[in-house]
Amino acid sequence: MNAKRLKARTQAHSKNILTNLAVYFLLIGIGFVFLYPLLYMIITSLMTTEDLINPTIKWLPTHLDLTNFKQVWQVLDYPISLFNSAWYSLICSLAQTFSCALAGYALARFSVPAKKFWIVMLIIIFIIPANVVTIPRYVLFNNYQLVGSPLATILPALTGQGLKSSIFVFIFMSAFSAYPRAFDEAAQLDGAGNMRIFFRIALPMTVPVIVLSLVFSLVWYWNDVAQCGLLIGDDFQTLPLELKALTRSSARCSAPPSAMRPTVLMSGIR
Amino acid sequence: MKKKRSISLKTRDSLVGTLFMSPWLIGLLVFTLIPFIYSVWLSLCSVEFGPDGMQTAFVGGRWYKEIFSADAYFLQALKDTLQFIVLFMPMILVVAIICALLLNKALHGRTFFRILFFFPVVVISGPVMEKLISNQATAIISADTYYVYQVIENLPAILSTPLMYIFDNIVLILWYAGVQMLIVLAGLQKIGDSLYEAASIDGRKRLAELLENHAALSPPDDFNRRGVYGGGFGRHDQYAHVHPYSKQRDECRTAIFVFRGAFLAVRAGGAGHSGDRLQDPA
Repeated sequence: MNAKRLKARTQAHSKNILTNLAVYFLLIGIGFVFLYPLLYMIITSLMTTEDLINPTIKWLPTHLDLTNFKQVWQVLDYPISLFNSAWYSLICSLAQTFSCALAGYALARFSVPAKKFWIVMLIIIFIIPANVVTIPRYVLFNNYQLVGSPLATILPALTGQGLKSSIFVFIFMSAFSAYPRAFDEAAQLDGAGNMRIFFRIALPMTVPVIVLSLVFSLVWYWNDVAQCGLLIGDDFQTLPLELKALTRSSARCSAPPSAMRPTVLMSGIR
Repeated sequence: MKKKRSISLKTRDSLVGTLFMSPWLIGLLVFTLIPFIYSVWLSLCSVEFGPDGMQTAFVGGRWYKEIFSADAYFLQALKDTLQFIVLFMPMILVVAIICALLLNKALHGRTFFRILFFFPVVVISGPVMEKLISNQATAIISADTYYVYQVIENLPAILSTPLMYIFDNIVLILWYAGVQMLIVLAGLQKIGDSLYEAASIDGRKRLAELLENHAALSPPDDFNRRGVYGGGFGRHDQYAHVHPYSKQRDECRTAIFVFRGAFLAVRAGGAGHSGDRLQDPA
């Protein structure tokens, strides 16, 4: 009996090892495919032009060359644009998370009039490409002389119309309807107002979701070139905008072979 | 008396709700709805920029006719976009779910793999992606030397074209799947070990466990009927009704939404990309 059980257990164990091996194999394989472009970027950024042209050199540069990085540091105004990028995306993502949390809370917990209509609107907004509303938004902000100031993108974020806001409203809606209503009711009995329930109970209950939406909107705002470039304009340069300007200018003024160069430069700083 | 009070509570409820919604509602009106309608109006007009601002003159559906008949790039762009969405969306979903399942296992170095898999989400950005694609860093390294590739190449064109497309863009697919992966992973973590345990006590195999636990995640209410995401996950509803684990559904609502989120996010990615494609290559 005992021996039989032992045998069964060792069998299960070896099966486990096999599946684990398969999983590791898959993970490492997929991981390599994931990393390949990054590795390519990093290696290429360390090469000199001679190494780039030389077809025998693929993965190992003849020597480490940091001039690309130095150039990029100067050309991109790195400290300034990094600082701009950081505070701009942080403020936008905070504003977006907060407004989406409010909307999600209302949709999840209150009998808002015409709720289904608003949910359909959420989906419609989601489906409409952002490009469709870009020009009218520009005209609107131009009328109020807000083009050129970061407010032009912070305001939409603050009112839940930022980048892909609908997703966040949906996620918050599900998160707020996931925890029992009894918590709210208990707080209400203890005399807490609606705002207090929202800040002291609803938000702390959904910290993971808040973090998730903060991270996503931070990344999306950081990488946003289209909206930011159009609405905020030339005076305010974030890192991706500077990058784009650099690619464009170097593509314009250099011959095709060295048009590869900006890639090299840019890959370095990412 | 009693009835009156309940009505006032209800109105109060909807009032507070509307108050919470108000920032979003204002934003919807000012930053999305009015601009959208204005945009549609502009598309029916001939617009000229003069010294005294924009001059608009109504021309009806002329631009719409022209885009289909006279524009050399539009139809090609439309075709590319459709191809992209049809081929990428299912692939991204599948890849996201597979990766999330792998990353959800208790393995050594799990954190390392998670960071590795989510890293591209942070790196991806317009200019950098463009450059990587144009330098062909996103295609598998000289894939045509592999035997599988040659076999696929010799298949009939209907089969081989989409397969080749996927092979050529495999890195892109993986990179686009980053966000969805995170979302699915969050959903999987909500399932909890107790569910798996219960299933294995019942003598289920892994795959059955998976299916049924996901069934427990199926949308409980009207989202299916609304058809926001037909096909795909809707099927699980049937399992959920017959299966005892469906009790757990309430617990899993976040996960359900997370699945919806994944789907919507894929759509967003597609939409965003189609926008990029439709723009002038300059």
